[in-house]
Amino acid sequence: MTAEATLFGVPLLLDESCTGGREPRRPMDEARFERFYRATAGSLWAYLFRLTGDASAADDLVQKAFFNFLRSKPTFASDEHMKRYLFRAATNLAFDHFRDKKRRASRALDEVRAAGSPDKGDLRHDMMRVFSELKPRERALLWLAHVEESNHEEIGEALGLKTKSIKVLLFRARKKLGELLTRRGIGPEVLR
Amino acid sequence: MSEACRHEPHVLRAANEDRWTDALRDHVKTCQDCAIAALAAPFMRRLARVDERQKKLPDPGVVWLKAQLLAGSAVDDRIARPLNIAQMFSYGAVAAGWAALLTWKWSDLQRWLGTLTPSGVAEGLSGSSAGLSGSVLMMLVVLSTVTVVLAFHTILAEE
Repeated sequence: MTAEATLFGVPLLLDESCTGGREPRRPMDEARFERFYRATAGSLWAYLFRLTGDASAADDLVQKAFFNFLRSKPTFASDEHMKRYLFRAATNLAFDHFRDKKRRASRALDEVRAAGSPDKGDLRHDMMRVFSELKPRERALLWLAHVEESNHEEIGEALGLKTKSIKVLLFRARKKLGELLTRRGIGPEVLR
Repeated sequence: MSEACRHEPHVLRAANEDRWTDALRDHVKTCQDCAIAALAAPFMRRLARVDERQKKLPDPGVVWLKAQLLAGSAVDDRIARPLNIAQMFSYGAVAAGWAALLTWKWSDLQRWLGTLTPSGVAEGLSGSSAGLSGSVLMMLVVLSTVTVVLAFHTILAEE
């Protein structure tokens, strides 16, 4: 079976091997979309916000991701597949956002950093500042691995990277995060 | 090896919940991947718990409706594309027509324009002065008509 629709070059119509051949594919209707949206929009927003460091950009990108997703007329067997493709679409949009509006993005991150500066004892701001010091791809890797609990294959799919390279990239991102946390004195005991 | 360590999920759970078994502690001492994952896990868990969202996300019904409207306007754009191309082509053709006519028959047109004075018109009526040739006059009329029609079409289409 061939893919009919694509989203950012990703085929949306999965073949039987992807769906396990168990569940029938169904086109998206409003009721199904509503269920899917309620289940994923919050986590997608959090992901995009951590990636961009900009709440209004995250608002825009969430809507764009869902618009593009719907425009591609997705027919998936499971919500899990839809979520994976939505995250991939959102990741691409976020990276486009960085490319197109580099200056705006850095200003937003500066604002995040600046927002943390008056209250130096605020752990929340310290955490945000540490996270914003990572590169966008490192932030995406860590978020998908730890918060979305995606496996290497799913992370690779979401970020358009080879599954084989995820282990090394994730290791580096975790190591860098560890170094930043050590430098700022944010150890596990502080986080509990 | 590109696979994650098979103990990693247990290590992450232990790090998140701070419930370590001796076996996991020993494993982390020898596995660099798990040691570094255990370091990042509590931070990421804590970061995920911080809710920064100040605005409510739009209602799914609104997103659905907007997507349908956007899809409709995308269809409209697709339908209008050949018309837009034809319009651009017409602008080019009319401009080229005028340029060709003005270049080719400039001296005749200049002479004819010179006769458009009260005395020139009177002479023309008496038949003593030569006007434009029939073909040039026809081209002038056709080009003027097409230009006016195109201008009206552009104005009405924009409205």
